[in-house]
Amino acid sequence: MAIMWMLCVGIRPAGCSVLVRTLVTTRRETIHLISKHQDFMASKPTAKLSASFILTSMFLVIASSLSVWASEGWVTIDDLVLEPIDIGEPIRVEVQPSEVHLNARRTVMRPVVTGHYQDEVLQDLTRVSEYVSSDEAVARVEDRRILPVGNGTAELSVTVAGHTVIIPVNVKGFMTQDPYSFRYDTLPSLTRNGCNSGACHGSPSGKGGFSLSLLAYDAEFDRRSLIRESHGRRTNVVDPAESLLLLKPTMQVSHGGGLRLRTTDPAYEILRGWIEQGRRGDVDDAIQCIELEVLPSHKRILKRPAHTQQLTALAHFSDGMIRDVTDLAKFSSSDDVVASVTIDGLVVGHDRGQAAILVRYLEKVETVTFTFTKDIEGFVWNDPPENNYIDQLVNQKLRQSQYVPSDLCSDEEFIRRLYLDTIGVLPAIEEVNAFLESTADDRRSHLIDEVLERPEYAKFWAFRWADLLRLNKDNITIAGMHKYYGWLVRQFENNRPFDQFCQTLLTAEGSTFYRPEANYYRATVGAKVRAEATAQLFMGVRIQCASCHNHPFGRWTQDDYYGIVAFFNRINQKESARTGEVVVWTKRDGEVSHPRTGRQVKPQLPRTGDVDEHDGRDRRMIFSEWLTSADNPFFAKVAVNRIWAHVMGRGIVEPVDDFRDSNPPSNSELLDRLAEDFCTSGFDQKQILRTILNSHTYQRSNHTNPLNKDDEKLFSHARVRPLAAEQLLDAICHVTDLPEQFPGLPSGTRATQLPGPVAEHEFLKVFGQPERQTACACERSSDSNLSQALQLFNGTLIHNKLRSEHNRFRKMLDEGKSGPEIISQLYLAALCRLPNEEEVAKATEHIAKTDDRVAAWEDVCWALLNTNEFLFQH
Amino acid sequence: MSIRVRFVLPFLMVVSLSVGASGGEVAEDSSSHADAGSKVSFQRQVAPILVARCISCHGAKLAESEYRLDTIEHLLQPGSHELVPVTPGDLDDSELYRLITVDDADQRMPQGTEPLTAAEIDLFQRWIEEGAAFDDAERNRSLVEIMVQPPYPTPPESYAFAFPITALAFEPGGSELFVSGHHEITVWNPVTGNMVRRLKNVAQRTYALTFTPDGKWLAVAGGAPGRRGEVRLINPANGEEARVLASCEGVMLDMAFQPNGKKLATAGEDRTIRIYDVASGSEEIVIENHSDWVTAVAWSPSGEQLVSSSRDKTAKVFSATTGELQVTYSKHGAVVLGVAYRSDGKQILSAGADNKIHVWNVEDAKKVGEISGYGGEVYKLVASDDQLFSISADKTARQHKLENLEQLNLFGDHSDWVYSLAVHSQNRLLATGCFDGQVRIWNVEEGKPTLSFMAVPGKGSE
Repeated sequence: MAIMWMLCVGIRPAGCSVLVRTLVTTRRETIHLISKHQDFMASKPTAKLSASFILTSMFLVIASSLSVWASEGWVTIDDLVLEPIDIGEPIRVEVQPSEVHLNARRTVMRPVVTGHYQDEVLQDLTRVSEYVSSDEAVARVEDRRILPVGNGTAELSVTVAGHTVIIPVNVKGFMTQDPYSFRYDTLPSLTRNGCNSGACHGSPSGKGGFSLSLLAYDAEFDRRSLIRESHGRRTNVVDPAESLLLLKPTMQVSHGGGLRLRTTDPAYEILRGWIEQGRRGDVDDAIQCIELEVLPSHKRILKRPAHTQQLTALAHFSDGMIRDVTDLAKFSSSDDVVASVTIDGLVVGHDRGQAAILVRYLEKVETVTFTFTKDIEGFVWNDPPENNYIDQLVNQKLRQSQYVPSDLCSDEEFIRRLYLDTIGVLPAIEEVNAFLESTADDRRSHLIDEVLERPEYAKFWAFRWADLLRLNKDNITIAGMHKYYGWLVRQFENNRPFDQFCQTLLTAEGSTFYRPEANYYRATVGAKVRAEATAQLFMGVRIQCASCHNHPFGRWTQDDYYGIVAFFNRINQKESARTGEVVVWTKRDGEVSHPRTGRQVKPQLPRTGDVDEHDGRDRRMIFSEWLTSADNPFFAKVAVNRIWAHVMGRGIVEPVDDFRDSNPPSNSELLDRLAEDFCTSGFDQKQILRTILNSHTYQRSNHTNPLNKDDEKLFSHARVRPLAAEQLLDAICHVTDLPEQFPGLPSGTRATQLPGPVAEHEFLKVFGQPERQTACACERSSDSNLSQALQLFNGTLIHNKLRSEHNRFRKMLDEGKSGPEIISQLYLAALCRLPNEEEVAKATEHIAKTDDRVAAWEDVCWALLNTNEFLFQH
Repeated sequence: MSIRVRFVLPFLMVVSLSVGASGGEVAEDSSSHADAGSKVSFQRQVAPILVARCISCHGAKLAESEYRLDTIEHLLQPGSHELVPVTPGDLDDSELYRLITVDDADQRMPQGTEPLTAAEIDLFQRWIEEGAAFDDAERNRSLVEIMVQPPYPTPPESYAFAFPITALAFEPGGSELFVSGHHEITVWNPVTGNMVRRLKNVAQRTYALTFTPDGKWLAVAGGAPGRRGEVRLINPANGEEARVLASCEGVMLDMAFQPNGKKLATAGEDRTIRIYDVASGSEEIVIENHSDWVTAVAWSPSGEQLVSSSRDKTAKVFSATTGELQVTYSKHGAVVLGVAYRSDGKQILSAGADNKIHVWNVEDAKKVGEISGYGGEVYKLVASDDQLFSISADKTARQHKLENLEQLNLFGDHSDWVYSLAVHSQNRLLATGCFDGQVRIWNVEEGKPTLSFMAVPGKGSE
């Protein structure tokens, strides 16, 4: 078993594996051994090639986020470790807001106080400032908040570190009633305390017979549920404190969700007060919340010992009223390892890194991004060369976070990396030799130019896109798949500008025989699926959540969703008389209705609004023009991020198709600049790829140093990752010099050039070849599992290639090549490098002491195919 | 499924209460009720505190620190700390007492909320010092069932807001209408719409009102949601002479007397159907078969069967003598809220959140018909003579002929969801009660309203 482990894990370089295998007598015996323990082994999560390379699928992300959602909500200041605030000597003290208007009886305001220090350093001083009202009859201060006492004007003086800032306070409307609003007080209180989260009463079937809409997206539903359902048992207007709505979350009555509310929480008083005032369900409030503002509103960098920031959430209403809703908003952190946020909006950094704090007030969502830094012992910037703007921007971030980038990778690593990333396959031995022999200074950029012009380039990138565009025979038939793939290859051969590529797909119509791109709509059925796929592919937005409810971690609402669906609602398809041909066309009419309101939804461009349709144009045209315009906020970023992730192994936004405020880019300046460059170049994909490949960042070694070993997101070193299924298969074919024959395809077709998934190809399936059923990049699994270990260890594919009479080493043996010569050729083919002395010695020794010389060579080659260095891109 | 058949006697509780006509006082601390000289009563004084303050965390659903005190037997078993909860006569060796009095808020019970009052703590102290006796109460029954309910709070003199009308009953002669309120039953003249009197000292909510078949007592089923429910028999003239016939955890949602008046069946939030002998007060059968609240219960005309409806989306028929399940009907696919037998006892009508009434055979649970057309949940069903009355969230009540399901009358024109109804067949009257506190009286011959009034004290005829 232990032997198998070492192989599964594949930690050792070649030499060791050779030794390991010699301990195993026959493969047959080993199969027996493993099958006996397979169930046991399969259940062990440790059966992985490398756990850190697992891309989480989108559904897992959502599921885990939901569980976080369920468990959070009770982070209070007592749960966190706070460094004392070192007030020091600020140059200037800033108080936000600069004036306070308390225009209703229940309004309050919590100012945010910031100290500005030398070198543009900032620190939150809210907790250590003193607040004094000039007139207690107008406004008083209680626990850092200003409360109205009577109409009039006063001044608030905020004092800290010898600075005093005076801000005017104006109180109006104090004598007027200010009843609780169901929509703007009650519902946010429920959200804040987690009542309507996906794991609790916000789940589609509710909990314990009590259902609420997820994060209060449906006020009418909640009104019914809270006020009327079950004969109105949840609220008690005569004795509000006896309401089940209060007794359950405070655990005065047994509650499956446990303690979610304390009688001292602001939410308790709001809910109690709302019931006491007659628990009115003012759903159709004339006054609407039009904006959520968070103080401070801009991203901040905090350096230890400064590591906390108090936030204030302000809701702006359509009547001009501004209310401090810090007590009503829900705060969450995008990365709890980097920073937590308390229920009261105090952000507390734990570690170096970046965290976006999401602030939600009903459907309004704002985020503020914080970067936490600290002085790292022994940090000295090594001033690596900067080949282009990428290196400047990456290094700027690294330097700020005090990570030292790795050195350049070797030429051997570079050529292997470049070929695999750019054209999907390993270089020929001659190509490796030629490159390694070159001494020209510009040999790398020269090689990049060369590789980008090779025919495999177009085929490989068409293949990557074919994953996302669902090219499989079940969706679009075999004929459709070939035509569509051919079309894709031509796009990349011609380096078709990406905006045109996208427009052509989105506005495609006609026969799939003559317009293969019309398969874009054939592969997706229904307006909703088409809208979802388009949003995910080209806007990087996983909008499907908003089909049923507002997006739980983003600003996408159900209204946005159906506004986008309306663009795709008129697409139709019909089969023609010819087998396999489908004609895609658009109808002149057909509207989408909103599932909640039942009203017709007009096509609506995200963040732009309703579309004026007077000219009767195809709605898809309007959408694709908006999408591909230079100032579109999504398009260029998503596209460059995909390219970046393809070659760097991780997106600047990760997952690559999950752009949202709560999942910020790890280096937004870099992403912005790449997107800008992409637009300026006329959406030239090859050009942007060339820029990335030429950067020092791309060419860095995967070997870490003590000062960057913890960095996973800022690109201080190359990222090691398993080869994709098809790449691995091609690589094995390359090392053994035995091409794979795929049914129905010309011989010599590589796995990375397949138009669609090959049915029943065990090896490809095991290594995660996607079925191509979704537009999600996550469908290609890089999870490792025991079956993969078994394939590598004893699978028929490798076995047959090793045993073949015509494989590389047998041919060389037949040609009478020497042992060291054969070893060198194998290493060059598999790893793009020559073996070192120890490796040669071990292999030679193994061959010498084995009676069956051919079998011994099989062992050596087999061991080579089982090394990490071969299995991984590095 | 489990059926508990009890022939054990009586846990009959006759509580005479001195609730004055004015009934002005709110329930005081239990301690003040105990005469200074007499011993502390577990059932009357200690158990109510445990039920109100402790069992939500130390009960059957959630046993924090592996400690439960929902029965006497459990109360005496140490939790994971292995410290003896109560040692008679020894406060120092009574962990329960230590935990309610300890200064450290991290240790003190109840956690995360107000500590017990000094008077309450004093009761515990005296009870333990006096020997921690249990008044001969059953040791394995829920405290909720064995506790003696202290007097209920008084209702407001005048309601600030309307209170939903969840139960109605006509006095057998039809001259008075009894209406649910908050800790009270109000009595109204169905001809003038004037309030006649108020009957206090009942549970917070009332979900069913009915007269005992002999016409002497008004049975009041209800409780405090999520906490404790009961059926209480009161004198309809003055509310006095209360007798608690049944109690359970959570509220009693419905009840029905056997046609011969000998037995009472209840439907509870605790998922049980319970059958009581009215004369002795003994609980005879507890049917624990439904997996969610039992929302309604009805007897077959012969009195040998019961049908129940539940939030578990089924209606079920049980033998009333053995409690055995006879048939399950699950075609509503939604919460079932009301049930009634057809007069021959061979078919059942059930109504629910699918906005329909289904008609099905008792024998094989086969659906044989339905009444649709409702625009909201259908709540309660009452079969009276040859007619079926139903009410719905669509602001209507309806009257159908039981024989052929023909609709006789549609009582529209309600101002809100209709939650309750009562039928007086002799006087041909129907009373309906709404969420907004309105009660309407209808003439069922003509299908016309005769009176409409706000049945909430202090709210006038809004």
